[in-house]
Amino acid sequence: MTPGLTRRPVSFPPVLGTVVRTRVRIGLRRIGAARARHPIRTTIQGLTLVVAGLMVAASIALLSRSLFTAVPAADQHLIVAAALAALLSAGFIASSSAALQSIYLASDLPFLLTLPIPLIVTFSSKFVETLAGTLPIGFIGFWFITGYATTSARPLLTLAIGSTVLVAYLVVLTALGIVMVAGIARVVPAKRAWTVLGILSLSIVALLGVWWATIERAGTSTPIANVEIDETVQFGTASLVANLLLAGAQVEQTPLAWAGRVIAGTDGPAAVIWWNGSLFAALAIVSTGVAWWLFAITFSTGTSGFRAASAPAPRPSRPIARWTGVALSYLPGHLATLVLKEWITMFRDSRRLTGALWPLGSILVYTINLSRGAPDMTDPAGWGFWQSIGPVILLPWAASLGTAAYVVGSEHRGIHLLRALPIDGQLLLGAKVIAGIVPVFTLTTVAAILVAVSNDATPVQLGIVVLCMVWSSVGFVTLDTCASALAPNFLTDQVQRSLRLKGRIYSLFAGAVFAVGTALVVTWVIIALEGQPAAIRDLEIPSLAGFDPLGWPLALAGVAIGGGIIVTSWKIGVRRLDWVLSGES
Amino acid sequence: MTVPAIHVNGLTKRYPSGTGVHDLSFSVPPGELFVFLGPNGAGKSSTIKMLTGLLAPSDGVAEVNGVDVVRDRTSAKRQIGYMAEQPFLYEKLTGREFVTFVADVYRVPRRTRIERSDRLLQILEMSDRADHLIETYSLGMRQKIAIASVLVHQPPVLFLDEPTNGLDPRSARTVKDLLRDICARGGTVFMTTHILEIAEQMCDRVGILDQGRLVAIGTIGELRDRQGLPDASLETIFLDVIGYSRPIDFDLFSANGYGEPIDIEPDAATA
Repeated sequence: MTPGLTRRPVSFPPVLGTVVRTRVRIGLRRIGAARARHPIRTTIQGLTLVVAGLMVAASIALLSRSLFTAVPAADQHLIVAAALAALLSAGFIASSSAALQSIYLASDLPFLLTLPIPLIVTFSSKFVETLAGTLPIGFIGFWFITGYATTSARPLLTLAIGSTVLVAYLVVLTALGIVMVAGIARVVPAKRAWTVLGILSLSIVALLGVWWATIERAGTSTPIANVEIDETVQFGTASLVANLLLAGAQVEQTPLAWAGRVIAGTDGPAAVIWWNGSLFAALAIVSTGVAWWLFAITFSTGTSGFRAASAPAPRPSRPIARWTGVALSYLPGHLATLVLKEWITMFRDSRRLTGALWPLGSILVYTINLSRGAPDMTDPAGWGFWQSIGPVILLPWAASLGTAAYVVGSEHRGIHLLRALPIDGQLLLGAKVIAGIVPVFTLTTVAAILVAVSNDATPVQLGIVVLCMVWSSVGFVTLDTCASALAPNFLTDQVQRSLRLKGRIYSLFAGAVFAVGTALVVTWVIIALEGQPAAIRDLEIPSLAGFDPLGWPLALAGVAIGGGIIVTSWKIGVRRLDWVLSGES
Repeated sequence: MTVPAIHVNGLTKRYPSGTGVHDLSFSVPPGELFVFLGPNGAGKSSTIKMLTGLLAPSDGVAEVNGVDVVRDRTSAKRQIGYMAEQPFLYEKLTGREFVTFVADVYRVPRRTRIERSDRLLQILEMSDRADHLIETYSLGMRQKIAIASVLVHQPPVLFLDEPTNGLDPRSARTVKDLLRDICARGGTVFMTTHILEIAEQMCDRVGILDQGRLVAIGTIGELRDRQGLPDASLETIFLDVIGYSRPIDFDLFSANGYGEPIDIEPDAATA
């Protein structure tokens, strides 16, 4: 040992404190930096978030209250279990994509591994980071429990116990996410981990979607035995209660029911709470232990247990370049180059692809749920088809929110390169829009065709569905790309944070306006194709200056609204990108 | 007998695609500045990662100050300061906070930490910018903060991958002097660089790695003798050891000269 180089031994609690303090400081500084730069804007954004959050919270709590008042106490744990099962797919996607980002794609992990920090400290800090990714699920769960607590005889106790179980539920979700990602990362290279993770997550979502669709069908055809539903509840809620009870009954032998019995058992015997609570706590401890074990065997020898670090990166294949070479040859030179670059980086960047998990999941759920082929009982007959598949036309919105909304911010440091190139905002925005439209259109149109065919579409209906998907994909992707240009965040590694709040709000606002325009255009198309339904005919809508308001004026209004918001957003987006590329930002 | 600061015996790293590092054996005594040279992809970074516990070797032993890096990673890391070629820094911390973070992880007492970090930031001419966020720093400033964070706990053995990257000539000179001073006081420096003039000025001994094999090791004088190149520069020795010969006649450029305008087909949009 070199003389004079005495040092204290590294021990667990002080190092944990140092790591946690630093992470908290970084988190607070992110908020603080935004507040210092734009105090008024940040305050308004904060208030908007609070108001929106309160509205969502109140809606969840009210729905929860109405669900629980509709069923007897003996069956309430089934509702909780079913609700936790319903949250499972969203929670699983949230936790596994958070685990992928915070552990396996995190740039600070190799740095932390060079320091003499006990591995358990690194694991704890990364576990908490992953847990933070499940907070939206926690938010929904908390207000669901709050709604239930208002129906309980001991509301405060119910809320306290319910919140504790919810935390344990989130811990289990987090541990499962880490276990799955760790398992994948030990076997396949990180570049391919996303693909495997995506397939696994979507399979789980698909299974849950099929399960729920089966329950819905059973719920409409079979009366529920042994369950009384309060007749005063509205029809829609009664149907939901029936389905949730059926779902709850099917998961009654799983750990979800343990959690359900604890949360819904505060008015019953304490032994039930203790027994089921102990079982669920044991599950949380065991799953966290397994996550730690996998983390430890992966990183106890540095990063070499992780395939991405232990093997040289595989030579990337160029199928995209090959497939698209011919198609892009029709675009002007610069535009084709930018579109190709966008596609290649989009499909090779696992960080960017994690943002697409949610939209892919929602496309899958809607495809499964809407592919029911229920008999068309409407007058005129074709309207039943359109009612069944209507939501499909808005699928590009979900898809573009998870992909196009991040395209500018996820350039990250690449924006410096783009600034140095002889391109302007219009060219860059055009390239990003074209690059975004193709995958969104392809995915959602395949889903739409599946749904349409399973609902016995005629060839004409099928053709119109495809046209609607073209309109919808072009519109939503353009709007979200423009929103992405409006408020990009180049300073983050996490794709979900590469769009600032202003851009997110604009994206939702512009999407809603375009959805209204889309609804008007689609309604006009359906009326032209199938004729007016009886309900509209009975309204006897008067003519507007000699024109039928449900005729071409409806289409014109729709096109004006939809086209107007696109043109406006495009102008804003181009101006903003010109500014970004000028280097003044 | 003095324990070597770095001792490597039969160190090997095998990847599915082939062997990256072949049977490496050498020792570096305390107080030596050892420079590791090699062409791109020779295995320098893999070797440093194995020596710092970031990559598990397939075979062989790596010890730092007598501590086995594989068997006792945490103890070995207490002996080490490692700076990667592209060092990681938390963007939302200030330079001073980052140095403090690393010092705290090594449990450097508060008073010592403040004194050392102030002095290091002063030496590296970062005192004025130390309280700004790292995200606002230039490449050279980031490099200086990374160097300060590696030195703040005064590790006996330093592993530095291209430590002068992005530094201006004055700062590069400061870092070179600092590293020489550390060695004079008993510390050991193991560094890689592609700038052979720096290596020639600073090093006590050189190791040359080529295709994962240690093809030469010794002082510059010993290497000159071995290659039969008296008075040759380190660059000449290095190129001779790795077998460089000018592979091409630079016929890339046309007979009309460099910078001749290229015929560009007009875009459909602009035609």
